[in-house]
Amino acid sequence: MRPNGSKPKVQKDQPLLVWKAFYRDGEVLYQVHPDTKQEISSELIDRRRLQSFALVDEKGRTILSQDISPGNRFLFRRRTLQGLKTKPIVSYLVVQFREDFLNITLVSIDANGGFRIDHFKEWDPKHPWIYPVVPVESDSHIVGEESRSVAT
Amino acid sequence: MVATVQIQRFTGASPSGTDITGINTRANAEDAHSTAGTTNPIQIPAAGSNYSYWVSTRLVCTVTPSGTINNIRWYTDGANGFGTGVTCKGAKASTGADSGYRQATGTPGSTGTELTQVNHTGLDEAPADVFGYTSGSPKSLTGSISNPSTGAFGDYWIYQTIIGSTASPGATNAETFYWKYDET
Repeated sequence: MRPNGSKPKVQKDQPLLVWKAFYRDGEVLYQVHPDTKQEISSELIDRRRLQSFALVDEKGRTILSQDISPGNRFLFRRRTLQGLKTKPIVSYLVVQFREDFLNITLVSIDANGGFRIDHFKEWDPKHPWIYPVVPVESDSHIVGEESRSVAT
Repeated sequence: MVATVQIQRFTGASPSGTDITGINTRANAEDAHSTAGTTNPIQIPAAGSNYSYWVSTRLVCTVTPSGTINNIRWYTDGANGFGTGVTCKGAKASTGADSGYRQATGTPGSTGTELTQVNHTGLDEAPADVFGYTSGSPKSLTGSISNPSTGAFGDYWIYQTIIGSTASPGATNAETFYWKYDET
């Protein structure tokens, strides 16, 4: 109870999203397998076969669906903000990029507890959510192409 | 599965972590976590500065991520709301033994030892005003953790409140410090 008699607002847990990766041969790769409930990392998405990517909520509703273009690189990040005395706030980055192209899709929570989607053409180090990622190996894989080593 | 990550405060000779996620922790003149302890306050000096015992914080993964957690950042709201005569400095630590952890020292109920690279040999840099680190200009901490590992990861973030002679008695206003990280 606050000194003025009011009660503090109870922070609700933010609704979370999970991803689904759709391959060109029709197979679907789930972040959380619907039967086994086993969870995997987006690093395991096979970029050679990737056709589209979706984020769905806890009721299975699609919040974001995006075609992934061959020749692009693709990465996904779940970005968490955690402060003391606050519940975590999570946003999601879906990024397609080439040497001459960058598209960042930011899925974040809005003031009403729903989701909003914003698109950006460049990283912004000063933005609270679209600052650059620290790459992992799978971020370098090219969509639709086999990994090749070049003999010299 | 999605990782479970805690913010922990470390105290003691061999660092012992306390989960402070979702609660507050006081920077008193003692090497201990408390949410509202008043037993060992920092004495307001007649001149010069007294210090809290330095506060050692770090991220701890209790449920391993499916992939990788990296890109750790720390920041404040950019405005010192502690009150007159109270400042706060911090620095990251990863140097030497115990991944850079050093137990806080001082005189209980009076003052901690000043946080400097001489007094804390685990610091990677000289301490700076924490309110210079904001959402748009955060402090980047090195480190990551990947499946199937759990435990503490990334640099320690060490901070200390500094009490000048113009400070007022009693608990200061609370400040919220933020951590951010990415997960694949």
